[in-house]
Amino acid sequence: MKKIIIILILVAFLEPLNLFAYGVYQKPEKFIAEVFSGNTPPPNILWITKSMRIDVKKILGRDLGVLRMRFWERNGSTVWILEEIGKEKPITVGFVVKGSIIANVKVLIFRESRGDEVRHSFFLDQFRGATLESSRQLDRNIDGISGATLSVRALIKLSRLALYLHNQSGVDDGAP
Amino acid sequence: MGRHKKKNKIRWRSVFLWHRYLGLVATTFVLILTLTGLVLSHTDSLKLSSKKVDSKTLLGWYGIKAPDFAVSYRAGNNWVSQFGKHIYFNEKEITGASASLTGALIVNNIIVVAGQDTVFLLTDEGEFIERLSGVHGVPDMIERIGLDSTGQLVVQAGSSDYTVDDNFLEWEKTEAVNVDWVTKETVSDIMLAKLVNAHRGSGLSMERVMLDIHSGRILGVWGVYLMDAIVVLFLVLSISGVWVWATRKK
Repeated sequence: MKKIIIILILVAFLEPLNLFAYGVYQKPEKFIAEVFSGNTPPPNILWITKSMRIDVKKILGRDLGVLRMRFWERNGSTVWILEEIGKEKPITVGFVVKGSIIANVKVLIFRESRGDEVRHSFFLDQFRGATLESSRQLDRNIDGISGATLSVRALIKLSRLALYLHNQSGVDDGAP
Repeated sequence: MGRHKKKNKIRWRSVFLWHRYLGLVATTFVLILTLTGLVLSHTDSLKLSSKKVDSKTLLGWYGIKAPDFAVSYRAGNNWVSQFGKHIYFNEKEITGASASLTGALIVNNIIVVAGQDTVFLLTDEGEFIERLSGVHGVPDMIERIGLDSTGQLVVQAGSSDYTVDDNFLEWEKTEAVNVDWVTKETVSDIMLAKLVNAHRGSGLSMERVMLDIHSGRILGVWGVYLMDAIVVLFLVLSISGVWVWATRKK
Protein backbone atom coordinates (compact mmCIF):
# COMPACT_ATOMS: atom_id res chain seq x y z
CA MET A 1 0.00 0.00 0.00
CA LYS A 2 2.85 2.36 0.90
CA LYS A 3 4.52 1.63 -2.42
CA ILE A 4 1.36 2.50 -4.30
CA ILE A 5 1.03 5.80 -2.45
CA ILE A 6 4.67 6.67 -3.13
CA ILE A 7 4.24 5.87 -6.83
CA LEU A 8 1.08 7.99 -7.02
CA ILE A 9 2.84 10.91 -5.34
CA LEU A 10 5.78 10.59 -7.70
CA VAL A 11 3.49 10.54 -10.72
CA ALA A 12 1.65 13.58 -9.42
CA PHE A 13 4.96 15.48 -9.20
CA LEU A 14 6.44 14.13 -12.40
CA GLU A 15 3.47 14.87 -14.64
CA PRO A 16 3.67 18.66 -14.34
CA LEU A 17 7.44 18.54 -14.94
CA ASN A 18 6.60 17.18 -18.38
CA LEU A 19 9.72 15.00 -18.43
CA PHE A 20 8.67 13.60 -21.74
CA ALA A 21 8.52 16.47 -24.22
CA TYR A 22 5.39 16.43 -26.23
CA GLY A 23 6.00 14.28 -29.34
CA VAL A 24 9.79 14.09 -28.96
CA TYR A 25 10.39 10.35 -28.95
CA GLN A 26 14.11 10.64 -29.48
CA LYS A 27 16.34 13.62 -30.13
CA PRO A 28 17.89 13.41 -33.61
CA GLU A 29 21.44 13.63 -32.26
CA LYS A 30 20.71 10.71 -29.91
CA PHE A 31 19.33 8.66 -32.82
CA ILE A 32 22.49 9.29 -34.81
CA ALA A 33 24.69 8.43 -31.84
CA GLU A 34 22.69 5.26 -31.27
CA VAL A 35 23.13 4.16 -34.89
CA PHE A 36 26.90 4.61 -34.63
CA SER A 37 27.14 3.15 -31.13
CA GLY A 38 28.09 6.49 -29.57
CA ASN A 39 30.89 7.15 -32.07
CA THR A 40 29.21 9.61 -34.42
CA PRO A 41 31.28 10.30 -37.51
CA PRO A 42 31.60 13.84 -38.88
CA PRO A 43 28.73 14.80 -41.17
CA ASN A 44 28.88 14.82 -44.95
CA ILE A 45 27.20 17.18 -47.35
CA LEU A 46 25.16 16.31 -50.43
CA TRP A 47 24.61 19.28 -52.71
CA ILE A 48 21.28 19.21 -54.49
CA THR A 49 21.81 19.72 -58.20
CA LYS A 50 19.18 20.99 -60.63
CA SER A 51 18.35 17.51 -61.87
CA MET A 52 18.08 16.25 -58.30
CA ARG A 53 15.71 19.07 -57.49
CA ILE A 54 13.39 17.84 -60.23
CA ASP A 55 13.49 14.29 -58.89
CA VAL A 56 12.97 15.43 -55.32
CA LYS A 57 9.99 17.52 -56.39
CA LYS A 58 8.46 14.42 -57.95
CA ILE A 59 9.00 12.51 -54.71
CA LEU A 60 7.82 15.15 -52.26
CA GLY A 61 5.38 17.02 -54.44
CA ARG A 62 7.21 20.22 -53.52
CA ASP A 63 10.65 21.75 -53.66
CA LEU A 64 13.09 20.43 -51.10
CA GLY A 65 13.69 24.02 -50.08
CA VAL A 66 17.41 23.67 -49.36
CA LEU A 67 20.48 23.54 -51.54
CA ARG A 68 22.30 20.88 -49.55
CA MET A 69 21.50 17.95 -47.28
CA ARG A 70 23.58 16.69 -44.41
CA PHE A 71 24.09 13.02 -43.67
CA TRP A 72 26.28 10.75 -41.62
CA GLU A 73 28.04 7.72 -43.06
CA ARG A 74 30.10 4.77 -41.97
CA ASN A 75 30.79 1.44 -43.67
CA GLY A 76 28.35 2.15 -46.46
CA SER A 77 25.44 2.99 -44.14
CA THR A 78 24.02 6.47 -44.32
CA VAL A 79 21.86 8.19 -41.75
CA TRP A 80 19.41 10.92 -42.73
CA ILE A 81 17.29 13.17 -40.54
CA LEU A 82 14.38 14.30 -42.67
CA GLU A 83 11.21 16.30 -42.08
CA GLU A 84 7.89 16.45 -43.85
CA ILE A 85 4.66 18.13 -42.93
CA GLY A 86 1.83 15.75 -42.05
CA LYS A 87 -1.22 17.97 -41.92
CA GLU A 88 0.17 21.22 -40.58
CA LYS A 89 3.32 20.49 -38.59
CA PRO A 90 6.56 18.74 -39.60
CA ILE A 91 7.30 15.15 -38.60
CA THR A 92 11.00 14.47 -37.99
CA VAL A 93 12.13 11.01 -39.01
CA GLY A 94 15.49 9.27 -38.84
CA PHE A 95 16.49 6.81 -41.58
CA VAL A 96 19.36 4.37 -41.88
CA VAL A 97 20.01 3.20 -45.41
CA LYS A 98 22.45 0.47 -46.36
CA GLY A 99 22.86 -1.30 -49.66
CA SER A 100 20.13 0.98 -51.05
CA ILE A 101 17.71 -0.61 -48.61
CA ILE A 102 16.03 1.00 -45.62
CA ALA A 103 17.68 -0.71 -42.69
CA ASN A 104 15.98 1.30 -39.98
CA VAL A 105 13.42 4.06 -39.65
CA LYS A 106 12.22 5.89 -36.56
CA VAL A 107 9.81 8.76 -35.94
CA LEU A 108 11.85 11.10 -33.76
CA ILE A 109 9.57 14.10 -33.30
CA PHE A 110 5.83 14.20 -33.95
CA ARG A 111 4.17 17.60 -33.70
CA GLU A 112 0.65 17.01 -34.95
CA SER A 113 -2.26 16.57 -32.59
CA ARG A 114 -3.25 13.25 -34.13
CA GLY A 115 -1.92 10.54 -36.40
CA ASP A 116 1.06 9.55 -34.28
CA GLU A 117 0.25 5.88 -34.76
CA VAL A 118 2.84 6.05 -37.53
CA ARG A 119 5.60 5.93 -34.92
CA HIS A 120 4.75 2.40 -33.87
CA SER A 121 6.74 -0.58 -35.10
CA PHE A 122 3.66 -2.31 -36.50
CA PHE A 123 3.58 0.45 -39.12
CA LEU A 124 7.28 1.28 -39.51
CA ASP A 125 8.28 -2.37 -39.97
CA GLN A 126 6.71 -2.15 -43.43
CA PHE A 127 9.51 0.19 -44.50
CA ARG A 128 12.39 -1.97 -43.34
CA GLY A 129 13.91 -3.69 -46.35
CA ALA A 130 12.22 -1.32 -48.81
CA THR A 131 14.09 -0.17 -51.90
CA LEU A 132 13.46 2.46 -54.52
CA GLU A 133 12.37 1.46 -57.97
CA SER A 134 13.36 3.32 -61.12
CA SER A 135 10.01 5.10 -60.97
CA ARG A 136 11.16 6.61 -57.63
CA GLN A 137 8.39 4.66 -55.90
CA LEU A 138 8.92 2.16 -53.10
CA ASP A 139 9.08 -1.47 -54.14
CA ARG A 140 6.05 -2.27 -51.99
CA ASN A 141 2.64 -1.03 -50.91
CA ILE A 142 2.44 0.43 -47.46
CA ASP A 143 -0.75 -0.27 -45.54
CA GLY A 144 -2.15 2.97 -44.21
CA ILE A 145 -3.65 3.77 -40.83
CA SER A 146 -7.20 5.02 -40.58
CA GLY A 147 -7.21 8.57 -39.26
CA ALA A 148 -3.53 9.08 -40.02
CA THR A 149 -3.59 9.34 -43.79
CA LEU A 150 -1.50 12.47 -44.03
CA SER A 151 1.09 11.20 -41.56
CA VAL A 152 1.33 7.93 -43.50
CA ARG A 153 1.75 9.86 -46.72
CA ALA A 154 4.53 11.94 -45.17
CA LEU A 155 6.39 8.80 -44.02
CA ILE A 156 6.16 7.25 -47.47
CA LYS A 157 7.52 10.42 -49.09
CA LEU A 158 10.38 10.60 -46.65
CA SER A 159 11.26 6.94 -47.18
CA ARG A 160 11.49 7.50 -50.89
CA LEU A 161 13.54 10.62 -50.31
CA ALA A 162 15.97 8.88 -47.97
CA LEU A 163 16.57 6.10 -50.49
CA TYR A 164 16.97 8.58 -53.32
CA LEU A 165 19.42 10.74 -51.42
CA HIS A 166 21.41 7.69 -50.39
CA ASN A 167 21.66 6.62 -54.01
CA GLN A 168 22.82 10.12 -54.97
CA SER A 169 25.32 10.41 -52.12
CA GLY A 170 28.00 8.43 -53.89
CA VAL A 171 28.53 6.23 -50.85
CA ASP A 172 29.94 2.84 -51.76
CA ASP A 173 27.60 0.45 -49.99
CA GLY A 174 28.32 -2.62 -52.04
CA ALA A 175 24.90 -2.48 -53.68
CA PRO A 176 24.84 -3.66 -57.29
CA MET B 1 -66.69 20.29 -44.93
CA GLY B 2 -66.70 18.68 -41.51
CA ARG B 3 -65.16 20.53 -38.61
CA HIS B 4 -62.48 17.86 -38.18
CA LYS B 5 -61.46 17.98 -41.82
CA LYS B 6 -61.38 21.79 -41.80
CA LYS B 7 -59.13 21.77 -38.72
CA ASN B 8 -56.73 19.35 -40.39
CA LYS B 9 -56.64 21.46 -43.52
CA ILE B 10 -55.75 24.57 -41.51
CA ARG B 11 -53.04 22.69 -39.66
CA TRP B 12 -51.56 21.32 -42.87
CA ARG B 13 -51.60 24.77 -44.43
CA SER B 14 -49.90 26.31 -41.36
CA VAL B 15 -47.16 23.73 -41.39
CA PHE B 16 -46.77 24.10 -45.12
CA LEU B 17 -46.44 27.88 -44.86
CA TRP B 18 -44.01 27.67 -41.98
CA HIS B 19 -42.01 25.11 -43.92
CA ARG B 20 -41.92 27.42 -46.92
CA TYR B 21 -40.85 30.52 -45.01
CA LEU B 22 -38.30 28.71 -42.88
CA GLY B 23 -36.97 27.16 -46.08
CA LEU B 24 -36.42 30.59 -47.56
CA VAL B 25 -34.57 31.68 -44.44
CA ALA B 26 -32.47 28.52 -44.53
CA THR B 27 -31.51 28.89 -48.19
CA THR B 28 -28.73 31.37 -47.51
CA PHE B 29 -27.19 29.16 -44.87
CA VAL B 30 -27.55 26.06 -47.03
CA LEU B 31 -25.59 27.83 -49.74
CA ILE B 32 -22.89 28.95 -47.28
CA LEU B 33 -22.55 25.51 -45.71
CA THR B 34 -22.56 23.55 -48.95
CA LEU B 35 -20.09 25.83 -50.70
CA THR B 36 -17.66 26.04 -47.79
CA GLY B 37 -18.10 22.32 -47.13
CA LEU B 38 -17.31 21.53 -50.75
CA VAL B 39 -14.21 23.69 -50.68
CA LEU B 40 -13.05 22.21 -47.36
CA SER B 41 -13.42 18.68 -48.72
CA HIS B 42 -10.65 19.54 -51.15
CA THR B 43 -8.38 21.44 -48.80
CA ASP B 44 -5.28 19.50 -49.80
CA SER B 45 -5.71 19.72 -53.55
CA LEU B 46 -6.61 23.40 -53.33
CA LYS B 47 -3.69 23.92 -50.89
CA LEU B 48 -5.88 26.13 -48.75
CA SER B 49 -3.64 25.86 -45.71
CA SER B 50 -0.74 27.43 -47.57
CA LYS B 51 -2.74 30.12 -49.37
CA LYS B 52 -2.66 33.26 -47.28
CA VAL B 53 -5.23 36.02 -47.02
CA ASP B 54 -3.99 39.51 -47.76
CA SER B 55 -7.28 41.38 -47.54
CA LYS B 56 -6.85 44.22 -45.06
CA THR B 57 -10.52 43.99 -44.10
CA LEU B 58 -10.35 40.32 -43.29
CA LEU B 59 -6.99 40.58 -41.52
CA GLY B 60 -8.33 43.51 -39.52
CA TRP B 61 -11.41 41.43 -38.63
CA TYR B 62 -9.11 38.78 -37.21
CA GLY B 63 -7.10 41.39 -35.36
CA ILE B 64 -3.95 40.68 -37.32
CA LYS B 65 -2.00 43.89 -37.22
CA ALA B 66 1.49 44.54 -38.38
CA PRO B 67 3.95 45.50 -35.63
CA ASP B 68 5.20 49.07 -35.53
CA PHE B 69 8.86 48.28 -36.00
CA ALA B 70 11.24 45.62 -37.21
CA VAL B 71 14.42 44.23 -35.65
CA SER B 72 16.83 44.27 -38.55
CA TYR B 73 20.39 43.41 -39.39
CA ARG B 74 22.19 44.34 -42.53
CA ALA B 75 23.89 41.48 -44.41
CA GLY B 76 25.79 43.03 -47.29
CA ASN B 77 23.24 44.68 -49.54
CA ASN B 78 20.38 42.79 -47.95
CA TRP B 79 18.29 43.11 -44.83
CA VAL B 80 17.31 40.36 -42.45
CA SER B 81 14.44 41.43 -40.23
CA GLN B 82 12.24 40.06 -37.54
CA PHE B 83 8.77 41.47 -37.95
CA GLY B 84 6.21 40.14 -35.53
CA LYS B 85 6.93 36.44 -35.18
CA HIS B 86 8.37 36.05 -38.67
CA ILE B 87 11.83 36.51 -40.05
CA TYR B 88 12.35 38.03 -43.47
CA PHE B 89 15.17 38.18 -45.97
CA ASN B 90 14.41 41.61 -47.39
CA GLU B 91 10.64 41.26 -47.85
CA LYS B 92 10.64 37.52 -48.39
CA GLU B 93 9.71 35.42 -45.38
CA ILE B 94 12.24 32.80 -44.33
CA THR B 95 9.95 29.78 -44.08
CA GLY B 96 10.39 27.80 -40.91
CA ALA B 97 12.06 30.65 -39.07
CA SER B 98 10.25 32.00 -36.05
CA ALA B 99 10.88 34.72 -33.53
CA SER B 100 14.02 35.82 -31.70
CA LEU B 101 16.35 36.88 -34.47
CA THR B 102 19.74 37.35 -32.85
CA GLY B 103 21.83 38.44 -35.78
CA ALA B 104 22.71 38.21 -39.44
CA LEU B 105 25.95 38.66 -41.36
CA ILE B 106 27.88 37.46 -44.38
CA VAL B 107 30.74 35.01 -44.11
CA ASN B 108 32.40 33.37 -47.10
CA ASN B 109 29.62 34.74 -49.34
CA ILE B 110 27.02 32.93 -47.25
CA ILE B 111 24.40 34.87 -45.35
CA VAL B 112 24.17 33.55 -41.81
CA VAL B 113 20.90 34.23 -40.00
CA ALA B 114 20.84 33.28 -36.33
CA GLY B 115 17.83 32.64 -34.12
CA GLN B 116 18.06 31.51 -30.52
CA ASP B 117 18.74 27.88 -31.35
CA THR B 118 18.77 27.76 -35.11
CA VAL B 119 21.10 29.05 -37.79
CA PHE B 120 19.95 29.54 -41.38
CA LEU B 121 22.41 29.63 -44.24
CA LEU B 122 21.28 31.55 -47.31
CA THR B 123 22.79 32.55 -50.61
CA ASP B 124 23.04 36.27 -51.30
CA GLU B 125 19.83 35.91 -53.28
CA GLY B 126 18.02 34.53 -50.28
CA GLU B 127 17.98 30.89 -51.38
CA PHE B 128 18.02 28.44 -48.52
CA ILE B 129 21.26 26.51 -48.29
CA GLU B 130 20.62 24.72 -45.03
CA ARG B 131 18.81 25.04 -41.72
CA LEU B 132 21.03 24.14 -38.76
CA SER B 133 19.84 23.24 -35.29
CA GLY B 134 20.96 21.26 -32.27
CA VAL B 135 21.31 18.04 -34.26
CA HIS B 136 23.99 19.84 -36.32
CA GLY B 137 25.80 21.04 -33.24
CA VAL B 138 24.34 24.56 -33.10
CA PRO B 139 24.49 25.78 -29.48
CA ASP B 140 21.30 26.68 -27.60
CA MET B 141 20.34 30.17 -26.46
CA ILE B 142 22.33 32.13 -29.00
CA GLU B 143 22.57 35.74 -27.88
CA ARG B 144 24.64 37.35 -30.60
CA ILE B 145 26.90 36.59 -33.55
CA GLY B 146 29.90 38.28 -35.04
CA LEU B 147 33.18 37.86 -36.87
CA ASP B 148 36.55 37.54 -35.23
CA SER B 149 39.71 39.22 -36.49
CA THR B 150 40.31 36.37 -39.01
CA GLY B 151 36.79 36.77 -40.42
CA GLN B 152 35.51 33.58 -38.82
CA LEU B 153 31.96 33.33 -37.50
CA VAL B 154 31.63 33.49 -33.74
CA VAL B 155 28.39 32.68 -31.93
CA GLN B 156 27.84 33.63 -28.31
CA ALA B 157 25.45 31.31 -26.49
CA GLY B 158 25.11 31.53 -22.74
CA SER B 159 28.50 32.33 -21.34
CA SER B 160 30.45 30.61 -24.11
CA ASP B 161 31.61 31.46 -27.59
CA TYR B 162 31.54 29.00 -30.43
CA THR B 163 33.04 28.86 -33.90
CA VAL B 164 32.29 26.61 -36.84
CA ASP B 165 34.42 25.43 -39.77
CA ASP B 166 34.07 26.96 -43.23
CA ASN B 167 31.53 24.32 -44.28
CA PHE B 168 29.43 24.81 -41.14
CA LEU B 169 29.88 21.15 -40.21
CA GLU B 170 31.64 21.13 -36.88
CA TRP B 171 31.00 23.55 -34.04
CA GLU B 172 33.39 23.97 -31.15
CA LYS B 173 33.86 26.19 -28.13
CA THR B 174 36.42 28.92 -28.42
CA GLU B 175 37.96 31.78 -26.49
CA ALA B 176 37.15 34.49 -28.99
CA VAL B 177 38.80 37.89 -28.81
CA ASN B 178 38.29 41.08 -30.79
CA VAL B 179 34.92 39.97 -32.08
CA ASP B 180 33.00 42.44 -34.16
CA TRP B 181 29.48 41.64 -32.95
CA VAL B 182 26.65 42.55 -35.30
CA THR B 183 24.26 45.27 -34.20
CA LYS B 184 20.68 46.05 -35.07
CA GLU B 185 19.99 48.74 -37.62
CA THR B 186 16.93 50.68 -38.65
CA VAL B 187 15.41 49.84 -42.00
CA SER B 188 14.21 52.51 -44.39
CA ASP B 189 10.53 53.45 -44.53
CA ILE B 190 10.30 51.77 -47.92
CA MET B 191 11.59 48.48 -46.54
CA LEU B 192 9.32 48.80 -43.54
CA ALA B 193 6.32 49.23 -45.84
CA LYS B 194 7.39 46.10 -47.73
CA LEU B 195 7.65 44.18 -44.47
CA VAL B 196 4.17 45.31 -43.45
CA ASN B 197 2.77 44.02 -46.75
CA ALA B 198 4.64 40.75 -46.45
CA HIS B 199 3.53 40.33 -42.83
CA ARG B 200 -0.12 40.83 -43.64
CA GLY B 201 0.05 38.05 -46.18
CA SER B 202 1.66 35.50 -43.87
CA GLY B 203 -0.66 35.12 -40.91
CA LEU B 204 -4.09 33.91 -41.99
CA SER B 205 -4.73 30.93 -44.22
CA MET B 206 -7.69 30.49 -46.53
CA GLU B 207 -8.41 27.20 -44.80
CA ARG B 208 -8.84 28.96 -41.48
CA VAL B 209 -11.27 31.45 -42.99
CA MET B 210 -13.29 28.70 -44.70
CA LEU B 211 -13.48 26.71 -41.49
CA ASP B 212 -14.61 29.74 -39.54
CA ILE B 213 -17.31 30.62 -42.05
CA HIS B 214 -18.48 27.00 -42.13
CA SER B 215 -18.74 26.82 -38.34
CA GLY B 216 -19.99 30.36 -37.82
CA ARG B 217 -16.93 31.12 -35.74
CA ILE B 218 -16.11 34.03 -38.00
CA LEU B 219 -18.77 35.92 -36.06
CA GLY B 220 -17.35 34.82 -32.75
CA VAL B 221 -19.23 32.72 -30.22
CA TRP B 222 -22.58 34.17 -31.32
CA GLY B 223 -21.82 32.96 -34.83
CA VAL B 224 -21.48 29.44 -33.46
CA TYR B 225 -24.83 29.79 -31.64
CA LEU B 226 -26.34 31.07 -34.86
CA MET B 227 -25.13 27.96 -36.68
CA ASP B 228 -26.56 25.83 -33.89
CA ALA B 229 -29.89 27.56 -34.41
CA ILE B 230 -29.64 26.92 -38.15
CA VAL B 231 -29.02 23.25 -37.47
CA VAL B 232 -32.20 23.17 -35.38
CA LEU B 233 -33.93 24.96 -38.24
CA PHE B 234 -32.76 22.25 -40.66
CA LEU B 235 -34.11 19.62 -38.32
CA VAL B 236 -37.45 21.37 -38.14
CA LEU B 237 -37.51 21.68 -41.93
CA SER B 238 -36.74 18.00 -42.36
CA ILE B 239 -39.55 16.99 -40.01
CA SER B 240 -42.04 19.48 -41.41
CA GLY B 241 -41.09 18.53 -44.96
CA VAL B 242 -41.73 14.85 -44.30
CA TRP B 243 -44.99 15.71 -42.51
CA VAL B 244 -46.20 17.87 -45.41
CA TRP B 245 -45.30 15.14 -47.90
CA ALA B 246 -46.94 12.42 -45.84
CA THR B 247 -50.16 14.31 -45.20
CA ARG B 248 -50.37 15.58 -48.75
CA LYS B 249 -50.32 11.98 -49.96
CA LYS B 250 -53.40 11.33 -47.89
